[in-house]
Amino acid sequence: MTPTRETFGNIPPASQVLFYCLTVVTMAIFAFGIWRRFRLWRQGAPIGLRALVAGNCRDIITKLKPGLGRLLTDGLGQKRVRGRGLPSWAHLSLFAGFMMLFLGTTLLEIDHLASGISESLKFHKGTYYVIYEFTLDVFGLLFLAGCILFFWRRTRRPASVGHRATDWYVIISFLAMGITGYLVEGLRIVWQQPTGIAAQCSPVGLWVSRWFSGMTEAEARTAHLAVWWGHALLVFGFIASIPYTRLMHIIAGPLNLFLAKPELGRMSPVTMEEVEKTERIGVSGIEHFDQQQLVSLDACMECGRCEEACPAFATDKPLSPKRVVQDLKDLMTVNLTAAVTPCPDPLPSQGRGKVRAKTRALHDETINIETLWSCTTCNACTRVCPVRIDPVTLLTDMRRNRVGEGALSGTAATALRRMQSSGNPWGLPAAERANWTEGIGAPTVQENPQFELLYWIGCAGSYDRRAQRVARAMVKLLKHANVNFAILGREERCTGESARRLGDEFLFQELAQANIATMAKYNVRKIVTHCPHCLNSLLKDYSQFGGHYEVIHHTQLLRQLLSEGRLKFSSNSSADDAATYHDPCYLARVNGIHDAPREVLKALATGSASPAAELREMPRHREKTFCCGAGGGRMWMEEDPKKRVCTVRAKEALETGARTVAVGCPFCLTMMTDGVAAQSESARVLDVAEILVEKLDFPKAG
Amino acid sequence: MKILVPLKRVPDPDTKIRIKPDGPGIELDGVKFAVNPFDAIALEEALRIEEKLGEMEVVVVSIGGEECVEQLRVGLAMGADRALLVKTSESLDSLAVAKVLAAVYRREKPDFVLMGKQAIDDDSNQAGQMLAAMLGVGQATFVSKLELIENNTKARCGRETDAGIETITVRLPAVLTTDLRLNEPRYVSLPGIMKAKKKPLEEMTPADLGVAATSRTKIFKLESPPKRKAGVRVKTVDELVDKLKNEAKVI
Repeated sequence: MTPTRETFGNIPPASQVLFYCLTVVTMAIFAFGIWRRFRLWRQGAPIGLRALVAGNCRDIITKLKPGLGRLLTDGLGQKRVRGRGLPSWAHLSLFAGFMMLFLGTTLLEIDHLASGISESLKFHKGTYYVIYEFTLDVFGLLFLAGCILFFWRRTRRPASVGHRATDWYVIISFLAMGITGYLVEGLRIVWQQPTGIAAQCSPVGLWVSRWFSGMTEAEARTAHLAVWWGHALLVFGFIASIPYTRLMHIIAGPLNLFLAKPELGRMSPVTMEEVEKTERIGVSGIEHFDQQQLVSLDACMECGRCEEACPAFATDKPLSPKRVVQDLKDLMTVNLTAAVTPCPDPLPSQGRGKVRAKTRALHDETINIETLWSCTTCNACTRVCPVRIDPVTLLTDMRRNRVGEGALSGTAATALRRMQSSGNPWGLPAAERANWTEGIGAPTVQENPQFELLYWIGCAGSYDRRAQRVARAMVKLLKHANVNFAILGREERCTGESARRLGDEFLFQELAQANIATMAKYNVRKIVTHCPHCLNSLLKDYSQFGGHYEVIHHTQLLRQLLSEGRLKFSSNSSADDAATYHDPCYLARVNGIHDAPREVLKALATGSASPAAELREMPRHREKTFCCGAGGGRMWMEEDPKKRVCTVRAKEALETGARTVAVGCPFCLTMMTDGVAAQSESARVLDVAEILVEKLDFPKAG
Repeated sequence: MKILVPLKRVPDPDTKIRIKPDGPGIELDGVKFAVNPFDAIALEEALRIEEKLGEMEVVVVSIGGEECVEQLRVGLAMGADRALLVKTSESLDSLAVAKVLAAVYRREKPDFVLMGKQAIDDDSNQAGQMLAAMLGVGQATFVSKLELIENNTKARCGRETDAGIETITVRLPAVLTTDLRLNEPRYVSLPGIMKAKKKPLEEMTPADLGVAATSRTKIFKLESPPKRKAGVRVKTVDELVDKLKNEAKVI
């Protein structure tokens, strides 16, 4: 006999009719819930969804490809869920089980409909049936395992994980769904009495059926029907509750993965025309976020990974990315629901005939200004989010509004004023910008118009005494390797990177346009810089304003020069210490550059005579690096000396036992120096270029 | 309630100024101008009072050429409600400024005047005191803490003196001049200045106010301070003590 089973076997026609009626009701509740959220999302700034499906097929495919790719890798592949130990395994297991059971149920329904048309179309039999039953049986175990792990985790409830009362309903109903599923199968086996492969292909069901071996067929049939209904009701409950509970992430998560702007460190520009038209800059109300940002709020599962990665949260600042997302989500629910709900009882005094429910203000009432300024824009939260929520952009969009409204004061305001008046945050004269070259000489673009490579110094390298040493070391190295380079000298201005991240978009644009014009004048194509903030800005910000350059970090250039043998260092250098390398956020995380500095340092370590010289890694390194605390304009703000981000990081660096902390960013250089100074142990904090220049074989003077 | 805040246009504190080789004055080439930082502090304080009390008006006033509109716009962008420009092409001394401000005061009838203790260009530190004397009202200078008390009829002021903070109470109306540590002025960005263009800005001449604005003082010469000589790095404490004793002869 062909192994198979009847769909709706043992289910009387009346029950089947009722089942389909309930299906319709469930779908209606589900659809209503989704619609309720959808009408909130659509109130955001339009993201041009129509344009996605405009044009010819090839155009559409090109436009949809990245989003679909993310759905495959991040969604089905669970790429961003992985790598976090037990919770990851729990989700993977539950997800795999769920998806397989979902697929199985869908196939079963297709088979049922097909066989309703013609019995010959039925495919749920034979080998297919055996594989189907076996697969679902095994994946059901994965589903249950995931549920049990999550249940256990929820009883423990780590601090960063959010909790709502409905979470218990969700997890318990999931467990019950899994258990009743196996009970239904076990009882079916009892009354159907399949033999051979037809029974063995459901090993778990077969095992469960032994519990009921004493039952008569009639008893088994009655129990089967009862448990089947229980199982069905649980499933209906689950589907209906998706839009109303944490389960919403099943819908909003993939949707956000599809719509997300995946690139870190890229901000959207604003034009003066827009500001004049809307009389507003940045986000002052929840509806000013774009539609994708609003979807992303609903995608949040409160897993807390962002909070755990956040340097501001780790140092007791009033910021948790998760809290920001959740608070904005609540605000969206309250304010935007009110916006589309006509008041049933209009008060004549209001005049407009429509009174809105009590709404809240975004700034101060929902998001505190201190929260906005606490962010270092290190992007750690955005990088770890499994569904690609971007708290950094939410915060910088709100900052733009606060800065536009005059809510910024203090040292950061002074830095911005100085960028405005002097073209650098130190407020030092532009005429002194190239003073650091005194004694070593660096050709300017005017002196060497045939340059191949522009060395972008940045404000720190130009004015900060400590960072000037990095610039001088780089010039020595470039000259040693005979690189045909030039600097802009006095004509260089601040890139405006911190201005943009602090929220002063137009000051940034002013500086960017001036720099782009200067670089166009000298035909700049390729730039090297020792500042990751300048690098990111020149690469990702400037391209939005017509400045397209090939930008590399100095460690990338140094690696190339070493591998080409253009830099030679002596191996007889004395007593080297173990070194550790602190990855700058805007280099490693935002731009994926982390091999080059390591290769340079390793080349030095292997070339060293001292066996102690080695590169030791901190627990958080490469893309997972922990901020120094200076990004996002925080460089220009005061920080409570009791708990500074740099102290936390410096401690981590010293715990590796390294006595040299290598960095690749002038801001990190300042911060790590401060951080190390606050520790009892001492270490040298040096830029990679400075370490390299110490070891170089320079021809002896004279 | 109404607060009058005078704003002076001065060279930006972050730009390096050079003295003209011919005659008194500074080179204006490439020099950016700003609101006198002490005046910005005064305006910030007025705005904070406005934010706290609600219904009231902050009026900013500047004396000088058409270019002062730039600084008035900054004041409006910070949050002032109305701006006045008293137009004159003459460079006025403290007494002349005080006379013009007294005329503005009589026209506007504010509850008090909040102004910087001095301007960072000439550092005279006189206009506020002279204004109070001309108006016959009380004054509190170098205010680093300000609190309105007794139903906003008096101001309790913390004044920075060499010996410490002196706290005095002045009856309003009065002239209060602000010191550095009173507050940190808010930052004004470009969209803020654009938006402020819609706020009222009224222009007038000293003659309109019934005063003659003429200076009684004249600047004959400006000189840069002598360049500081390079320091000496000492190796040991003993060497330092020796140098202090025998070279500097201070101990």
